[in-house]
Amino acid sequence: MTDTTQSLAPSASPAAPTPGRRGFRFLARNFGGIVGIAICLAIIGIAVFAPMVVTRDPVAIDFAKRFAPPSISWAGFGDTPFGADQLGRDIWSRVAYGARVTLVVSLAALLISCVVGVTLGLLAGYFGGIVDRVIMRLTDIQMAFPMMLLALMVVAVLGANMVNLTLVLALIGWTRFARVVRGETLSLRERDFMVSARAIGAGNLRILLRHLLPNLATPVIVVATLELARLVLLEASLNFLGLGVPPPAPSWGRMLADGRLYLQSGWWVVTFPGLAIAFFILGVTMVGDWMRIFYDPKVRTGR
Amino acid sequence: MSSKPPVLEIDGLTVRFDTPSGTVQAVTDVSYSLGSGETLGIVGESGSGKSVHVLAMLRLLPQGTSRITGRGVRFFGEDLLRLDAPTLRSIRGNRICVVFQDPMTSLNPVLTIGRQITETLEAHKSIGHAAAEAEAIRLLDMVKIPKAAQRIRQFPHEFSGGMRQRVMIAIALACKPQLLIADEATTALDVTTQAEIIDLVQELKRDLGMAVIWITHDLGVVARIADVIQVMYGGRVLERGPVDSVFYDPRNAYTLGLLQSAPSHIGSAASGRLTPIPGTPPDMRRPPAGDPFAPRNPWATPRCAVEMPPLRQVDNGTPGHLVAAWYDLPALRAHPQ
Repeated sequence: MTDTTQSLAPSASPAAPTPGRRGFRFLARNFGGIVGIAICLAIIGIAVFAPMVVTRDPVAIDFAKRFAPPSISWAGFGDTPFGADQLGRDIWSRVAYGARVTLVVSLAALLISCVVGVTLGLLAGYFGGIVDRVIMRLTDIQMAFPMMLLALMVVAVLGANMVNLTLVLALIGWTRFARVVRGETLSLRERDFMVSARAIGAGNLRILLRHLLPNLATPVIVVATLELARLVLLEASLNFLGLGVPPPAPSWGRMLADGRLYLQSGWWVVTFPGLAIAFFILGVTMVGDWMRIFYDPKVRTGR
Repeated sequence: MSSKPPVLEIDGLTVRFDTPSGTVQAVTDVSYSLGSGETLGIVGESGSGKSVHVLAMLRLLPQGTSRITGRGVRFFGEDLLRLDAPTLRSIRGNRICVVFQDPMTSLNPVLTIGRQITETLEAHKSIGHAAAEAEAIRLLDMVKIPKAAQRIRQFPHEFSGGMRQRVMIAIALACKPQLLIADEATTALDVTTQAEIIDLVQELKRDLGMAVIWITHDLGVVARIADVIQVMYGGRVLERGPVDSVFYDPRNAYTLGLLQSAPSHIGSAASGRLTPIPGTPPDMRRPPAGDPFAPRNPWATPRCAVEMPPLRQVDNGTPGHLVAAWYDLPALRAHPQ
């Protein structure tokens, strides 16, 4: 008796694909996902290990090296692998340190906008009525307001530094989270297990945190990856306009802004930070796309 | 029925829904009481108000669109309709538990089975996580889920429908409720699983001494488990009484129709053919003035269409057998005009 029950009962045998394993298998068949993850990991690695991978101090001025061309070749890195800018600063080192700024600012902004957006979206979707109307009108106002103007205002009032840059980006980013989470909550609220949860005596807080939030993980992860790409681009734009981190700290956007004046003297001054921005956004978008497809049951069925 | 104070006493419960196409009169003036250890079977077709009145008395209906009125829904003397939200929450899932119809959608897909059971325990009892987990394993054992200790780590999609319904029952029984409401709890299951679940509930009812409300449209299930049967139609109670009395001596035409349309030897025509009830249920946006079943009732009297008959003790029948009818069904069946 016990034998048959045991053999019939599906058990968690080691061969059963876990979600992680399944994700890995799916990744193996998704070239874009692999490339995206590789790009992101490379850039994160450079940012984390910047002091070890750079060839020179990123803010050290050396007029002897003014507009030194890229020294990278099959033979090796050389002294200035990506060349030097108008003040003789090493572009490779500045790109590596710029990755730190971009990563820290955009990830912090992502985290803040995620927390704020998910919270407000949950409240709007769950409670509905006046709460919903107020929060959704706020997102409407936010989305209708030109973000560059908003950024300019905030920076003009508060001053240009990394904290304010992060806050501005978070202010721009939260609306997407709020909208997606609200929509998802509206549909989850009508599901049978929500009535079950209330029938076992769960209060609003318990339902919000224990029953709704875990169900929102998938859409939030997808929005977060796609949103990260947007925030990286915005961060670069704000730095380009001089609304970001103050000089001499290296940032990709500012390097573009400074280097565009010297396109004639050295194409490498703008090219490498530009490529860094492009590659990072490409990588993040590819990861986001892979995640979106991975979590989409319609695309994944049959496997 | 018993001298003990009733577990549940519903008095004049009425539920209306505001919809874009008008007000729907879902439940009208439903009153009954239930003693401890008693099983009440509620039968009726879809839209008869049997599920809605349960959701209404626990105030689980959407607040914006539903309007619940009544003289009271007293659970051990406490009026559920007038309780404050925290007190009501402390009763839901603790002293009154509901097992819903669809086990496939009533469990949260992203939480483990164990978590969903321990959650109820942690919400109502001061119990540590480890103790709650041990209790969850014991509960799953009790509802006969093999290898419970491993299965509490699994997610609902790793369970079959019957297994999930057992899990729902385990969740419902976690706090040893005084009243269990099974809302079509076995309708979505195959007959073997259904029989197992019914046996399980019967067994647990004996062990825990709880009262049970079993909502179904399967008369066979009612015959097997209920002490008292209540027939609902169009949001009203049309007949109520001890199961044997109602099955062998139906006094309402709708009850008779249900019995004749059920594949059972009880009350069915001698030819062995099933007799369907003609017509369709009333549109509850415009509830009929009189007996809601009158338009489909071949024995309806002119009075049926205009005035709702009160629920009263049947003439020369079992005490406690109540019916709402203007006509005398046994007489009409004995002497057809």
